[in-house]
Amino acid sequence: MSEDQEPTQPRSAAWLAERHGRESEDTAPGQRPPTWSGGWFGLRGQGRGEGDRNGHSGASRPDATPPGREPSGPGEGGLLPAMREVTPPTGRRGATAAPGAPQPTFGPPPPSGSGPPSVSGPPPESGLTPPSGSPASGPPTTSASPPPPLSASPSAPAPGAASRLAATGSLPAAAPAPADPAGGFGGDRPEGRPRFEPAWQVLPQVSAPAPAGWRPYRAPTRPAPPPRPAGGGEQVRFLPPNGNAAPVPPPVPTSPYPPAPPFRPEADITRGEHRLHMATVPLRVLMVTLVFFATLGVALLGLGPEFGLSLAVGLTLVVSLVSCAYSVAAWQATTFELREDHLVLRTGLLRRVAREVPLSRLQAVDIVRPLIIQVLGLAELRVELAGGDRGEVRLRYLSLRTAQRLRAAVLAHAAGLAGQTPEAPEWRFFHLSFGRLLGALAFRIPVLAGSALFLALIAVGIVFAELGVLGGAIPLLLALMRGFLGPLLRYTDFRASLSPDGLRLRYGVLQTRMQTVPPGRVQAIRIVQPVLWRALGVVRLEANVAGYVGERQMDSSTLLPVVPRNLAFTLVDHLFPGTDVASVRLEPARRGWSRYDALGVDDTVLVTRRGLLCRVTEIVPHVRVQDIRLVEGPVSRLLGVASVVVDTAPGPARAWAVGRDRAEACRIVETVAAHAREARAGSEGPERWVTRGDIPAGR
Amino acid sequence: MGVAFAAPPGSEWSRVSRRYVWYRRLVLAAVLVPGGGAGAFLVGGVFTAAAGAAWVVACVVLGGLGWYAAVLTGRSWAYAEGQADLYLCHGVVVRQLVVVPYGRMQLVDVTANLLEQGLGIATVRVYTAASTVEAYIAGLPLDEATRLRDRLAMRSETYSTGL
Repeated sequence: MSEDQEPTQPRSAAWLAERHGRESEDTAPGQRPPTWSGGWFGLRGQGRGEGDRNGHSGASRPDATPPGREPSGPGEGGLLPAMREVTPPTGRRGATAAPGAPQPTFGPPPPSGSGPPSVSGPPPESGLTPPSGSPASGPPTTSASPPPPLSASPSAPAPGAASRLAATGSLPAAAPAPADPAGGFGGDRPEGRPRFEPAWQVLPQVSAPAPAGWRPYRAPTRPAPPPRPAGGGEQVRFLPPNGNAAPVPPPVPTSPYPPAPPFRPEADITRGEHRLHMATVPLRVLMVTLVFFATLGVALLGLGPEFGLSLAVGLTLVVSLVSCAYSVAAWQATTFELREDHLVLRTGLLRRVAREVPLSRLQAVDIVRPLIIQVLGLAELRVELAGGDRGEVRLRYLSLRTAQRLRAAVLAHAAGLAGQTPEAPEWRFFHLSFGRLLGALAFRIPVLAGSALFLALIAVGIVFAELGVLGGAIPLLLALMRGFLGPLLRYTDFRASLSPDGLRLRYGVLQTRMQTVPPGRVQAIRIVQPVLWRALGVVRLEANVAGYVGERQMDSSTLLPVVPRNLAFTLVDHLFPGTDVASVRLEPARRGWSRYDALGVDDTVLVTRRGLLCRVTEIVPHVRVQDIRLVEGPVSRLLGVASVVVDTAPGPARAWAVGRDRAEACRIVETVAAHAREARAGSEGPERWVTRGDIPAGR
Repeated sequence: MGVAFAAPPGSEWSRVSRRYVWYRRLVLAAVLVPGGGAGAFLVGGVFTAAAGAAWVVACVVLGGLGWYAAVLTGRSWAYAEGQADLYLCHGVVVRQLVVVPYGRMQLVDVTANLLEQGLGIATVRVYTAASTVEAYIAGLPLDEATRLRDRLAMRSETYSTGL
């Protein structure tokens, strides 16, 4: 969603210019993207001029379409949800840029120009300080001819950037898509594809058979929705099917909400009490039986061939019958219901527990599908809250459609929309190819050293016929499996998409998982770059999400396991709406561990960098600051420096600013406290991010 | 040797009670006296008697150092209630200043273990959503601790915001 929108487009064009020869982390420095009118999306008019870049914290987007953007396509009026802008009405690529901003791809420019050196690989230079707000002095390094509409790019970007915009030509100007040489970034791409699309993978629910590419936010397999009554109020959320009127493709929505889906014959998961899928019972019974047989049964077998076998089989039968009865009763007794704003879960046979979960406090929603469950077409739905280990609702198992529908309904409620709102559309953001994942996971010092050691041990063991090496080789192998094979299997087929209902991550093959992190739920972000990954130009992005605690945190807090550095900072700007990490000026530390240590404080965000070998960048928006510490050890006191630590909700990210002058550190503490105070005063919580009142968010 | 950092503008540091020094000394004694005695016997039994005597001497030296270190510790604790934040300061070797905004306080506790109860002091703990981190002030007189807790609870409601 975000990268398709107006505001980020000029930014990314500038990024592409900077990428040539320079590793730029994200947006063009100093640029404020123009705002756009919203989407899934409340079309709210007030708010800060900058607005929110990802458009789903609805309050602060202006109504007017930004300058330079003309409505694309026939039959579409002025006030459009921004998503329409990305739908190229014609086959011309130039029309794609009709909204007035380029849609540069994340690959190298098309061969139409003599283009800059290929940037499909990792940016050659590392170690640059992108968030240091370096001025837009990157030379426009591409000579590809800019598409004509680019010259009419919105005036919002800084003039220097505008020239870069025009000059990047990274927009595949008039060249047809298939000729894209984006090395390995995917074959033919439909036009209007969002910019940061290294590889194109069409997901089923947003597959677009339309020739031009993306459709507006409707699953294309559905019939056209009934037309809205003229002047339909903003609060119209669900229309019954209107058989009289002829369907009008595509209707101009006068209401900010997407058209309601037609009546579906299946049970509406968003109303009434429902039970889990019936296949849960045999699955549970099967698992209990297997576990029992594998543990006790095998032990009993040892009692003797005849007697032991019959005893084992008999006991297993008894256990499975008992568990069958119990599972049926438990299945019968477990219901869930989606009420106004709450998910009510009733469980328990003897002791009935009714758990009411306020969805406005939702932190994350996951759909997990282990292997067997995948085969059967089921899924497990996990709703994460901020209540610690017990703050989780697990529904095992639902059919996949039900789980997806329920997930959409839960997120709609959390966003403040009605439960029947169709699932929010999404824009693909990043696809992690297996080769890249494999290479990056392998190319780390612990993995390389561990495997070398393991091989050496095995070689020594073979050469000297010494079995004792197994004592060292086996733990090493286990560690390698955990550190290398684990993430490899876990993050196979990783795709990240942006959507009004949050960041969607889909990954896994043996155990598929779909994580959704709603907007505003990320408390802090940490971008880690181990020393060898500097050569590859990739980083890992981890986030503090309040719902992921304990072991779930280690599982789920890595949002992007391997991602090019630029994309990581793009995502940061999407996850923290209203911030512009690239433009934060970083002040280096007086006496840190390395020259990389730096701290930058903006109006909205705090960025710290530290690390000698493994570089860590931590980004904390002021509104998420929980407390601030100033720490001074004896050695630091001698050197006259101190450290500032900014705490947020628990998670991998914890902002440490090391090596600051003592007086400066005190000033930093005061400044951050003041910014945090302002930010808290100005913001509502992230609940109901589409329909809440007009208070600028994230400031 | 006073408080390590400057007070926030508009307020002064408030110190903890003198009895906190005695609390620290008593805790130290509770550790060193049995440790020294039993250790002396053990060491003297396993090694030579001179080693046991050396152990006792070491314990006495530690006790003396701790006696005066308790004064330093007691002097290093301070708190100040700023406009929108609570400032806490503590530590002698590793000195820390913690700023906790009122709006971020989830819980405020007053706790006192047996020894603290005997001395009439208490500890105020402030919990935020960053649950791994604890901000606390030890050694406040009990009534001051309860008054501080009430003030903090009232302010945290006034200033509270979402997570």
